[in-house]
Amino acid sequence: MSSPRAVITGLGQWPDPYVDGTNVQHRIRTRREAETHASFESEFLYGAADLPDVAKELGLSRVDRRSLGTQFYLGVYAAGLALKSADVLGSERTGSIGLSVALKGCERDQKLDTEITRRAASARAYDAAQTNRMLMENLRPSLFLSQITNLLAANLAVLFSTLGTSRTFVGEEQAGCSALENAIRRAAGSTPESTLAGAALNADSYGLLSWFASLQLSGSSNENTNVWLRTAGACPSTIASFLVIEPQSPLRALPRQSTSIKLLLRSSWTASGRSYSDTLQELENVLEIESLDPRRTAIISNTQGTPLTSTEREFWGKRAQHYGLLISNAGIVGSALEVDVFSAVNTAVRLLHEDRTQWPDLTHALHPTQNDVDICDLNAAVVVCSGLFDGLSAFLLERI
Amino acid sequence: MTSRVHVVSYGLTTGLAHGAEGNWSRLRAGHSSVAPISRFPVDHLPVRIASTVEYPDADCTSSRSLCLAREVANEAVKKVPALAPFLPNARLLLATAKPQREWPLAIDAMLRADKAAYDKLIQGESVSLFGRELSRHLGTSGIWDNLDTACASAATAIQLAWELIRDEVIEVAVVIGAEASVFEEQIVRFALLSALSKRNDEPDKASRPFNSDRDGFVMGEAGACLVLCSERIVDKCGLHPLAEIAGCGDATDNYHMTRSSPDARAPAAAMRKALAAASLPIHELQHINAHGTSTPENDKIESLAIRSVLGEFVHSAPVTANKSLIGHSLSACGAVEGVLSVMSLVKKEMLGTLNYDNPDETLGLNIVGKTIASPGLTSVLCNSFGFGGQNVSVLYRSAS
Repeated sequence: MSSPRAVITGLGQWPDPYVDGTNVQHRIRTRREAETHASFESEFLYGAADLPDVAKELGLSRVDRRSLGTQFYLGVYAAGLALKSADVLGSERTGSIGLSVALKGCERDQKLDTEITRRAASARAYDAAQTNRMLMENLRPSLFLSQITNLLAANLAVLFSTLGTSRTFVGEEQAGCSALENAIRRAAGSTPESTLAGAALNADSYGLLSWFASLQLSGSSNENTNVWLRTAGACPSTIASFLVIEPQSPLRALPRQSTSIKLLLRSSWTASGRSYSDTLQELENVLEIESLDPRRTAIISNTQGTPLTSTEREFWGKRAQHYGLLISNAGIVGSALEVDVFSAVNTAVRLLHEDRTQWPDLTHALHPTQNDVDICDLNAAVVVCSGLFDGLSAFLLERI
Repeated sequence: MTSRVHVVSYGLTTGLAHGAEGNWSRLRAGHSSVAPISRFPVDHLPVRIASTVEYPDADCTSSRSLCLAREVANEAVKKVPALAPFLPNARLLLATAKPQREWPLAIDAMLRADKAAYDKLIQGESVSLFGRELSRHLGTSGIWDNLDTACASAATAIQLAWELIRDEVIEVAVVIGAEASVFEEQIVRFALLSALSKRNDEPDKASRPFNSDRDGFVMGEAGACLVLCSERIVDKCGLHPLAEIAGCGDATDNYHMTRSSPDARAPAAAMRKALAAASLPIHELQHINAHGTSTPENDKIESLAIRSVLGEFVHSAPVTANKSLIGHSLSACGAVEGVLSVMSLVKKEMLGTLNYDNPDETLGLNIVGKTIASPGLTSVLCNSFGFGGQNVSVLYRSAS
């Protein structure tokens, strides 16, 4: 079966470097933990986000920021922006729209977590009965409903009145790629369905930042260096990004920025004894079949300055000068796991459609001469996404 | 072009037994696996019963779930050696317990200042590492997806596998549901939502679907695996299909985060779609494996949905609820009950619903009380519903 193809008719992202002209370096904050919370890490860097007034900007009266939590709140906002840009927000068409969401669950009740660890640290022992009692007395159902992964999709369904198929994927970068693939297949399937697809991540969370740290993935002091040259790792970032993906021949006029999107490749490496560079080679073979003009094609990678980056740098380094542009999207928006593929697609759509001279910061191009590239010449972009999952996914975007 | 989708093997582990056959013999005899919790102190917890699966070397949700997943996958794959050459290209579709903070372990590591142990715990919160480990274990080099549609997760994974094989995107899928999340905080969460039975003094009578005195579900750990193949692979490998997945249907309810619309329109729509996809007239449906959680809400809504779909034929499709025997395995239940639906077709028996001694006559269903022989059984509709308005139905048909 040939690769499925669909059309992107709307996009929404927050924070959006293409609106305010800033990249993640401008949003870096330090989070310091009380020593009683955990004795191992106490300071983290991450990309922060201001919280928009969703109710006012989207005209939604039922948005409760407290019960949604930051991650869901930003997800609702980005999803609303995507529906708005596709000209379907508030219309009857939302009734037939499906949802394909990727999310890392568990925004935890930090106050309660801290109190449990503080008591244990002061008693130098774990008291199970006391912890049980604290959980019973302090956990609030309204809060932990924002910890159940698929309830972002449920909130979107309620707030935007969508009634189509709803699927949520979990598993970091891989989950984002699964959700995007699912949306494209749904649009290209035998019973085509338009889908609101995307992800959200709140990096201002001890759980998330300590997870990055435990895997030795998070950066420390040199986030301003080019991602391709980093040794210190990723910069976790708060961001939400959504797309509206529709069948290729919708019965309506397409919005101006509509872009064709096609699943190019989903592949893994270690299990079959292949290396990451073998998989990249497989991608290059696929690109050759697509007959793209490399000079008019941008490669947008989610590479983050983690150990995989050196392999990718070596592979693309020999080829970078042939492509119109080869950049790390993580240098623009930071690293956001499930959101990575969606924010990279967002960047691709902007590159293909916006005739602007000021861009947030493309110094994360792999080849130095590409910082001055004429973006107006681009007519295709390939989004390449890898991560913890031993896998690589690639999507091709073309101007319509 | 489309392909028929066959179930060629399965594996099953529950609190009753390790292995599908061992489970079947105990289930048909009406044994319950629900018992007082001995894994951790239950002081101050309002719920002190569950069905658990113990692995001596596993100490937390993610490692227990991984043990479960490996065990059921091994059982299923071992039964079809002829499929081995195709496993490297199989797609792995997962529905697993979401890793969460477990206090005794986290605090123990913190008090011992054991950073390595603490980091390992935090890394265990990564869904990617779970999928990667399982993919490496099985040698599936194809990409994997991890679904989270709450208690419909495994059914959604089965549906996605069905779509991918039907549309000839893949030829082999290994679907695994694994849930081993009986721990303190999870019990508190569900208890605070008033979702759990509090019949602590009579554990084996606590899960009582479709009874008038039902008071909530019982948490149950379990794992199940289904190996699905295209028709071409069945022919090529000389496999003997155990059943066919003849149709799947899903529908979303945007009424409320945790409650269904009182008119049961979404679960009814999911059932209708599955029957339509299988081209099975309602009067020919012979058996329903209900979601049947034993909560007042689910059983009422599911009964209404079944009555509205089957109408005058409601009594011609006897209904069973496996959760009466083994509890509710949350993410995994769609796979667990999928395996039991297939076994019903193979063994020509309908499993009984334990504790059906105080029927809720208002529900208007034909409930299977004791296990009965059903020599002409050829179709089972298996329902899975979840928080967030997720509803999935899968129609299993005898292999022809």
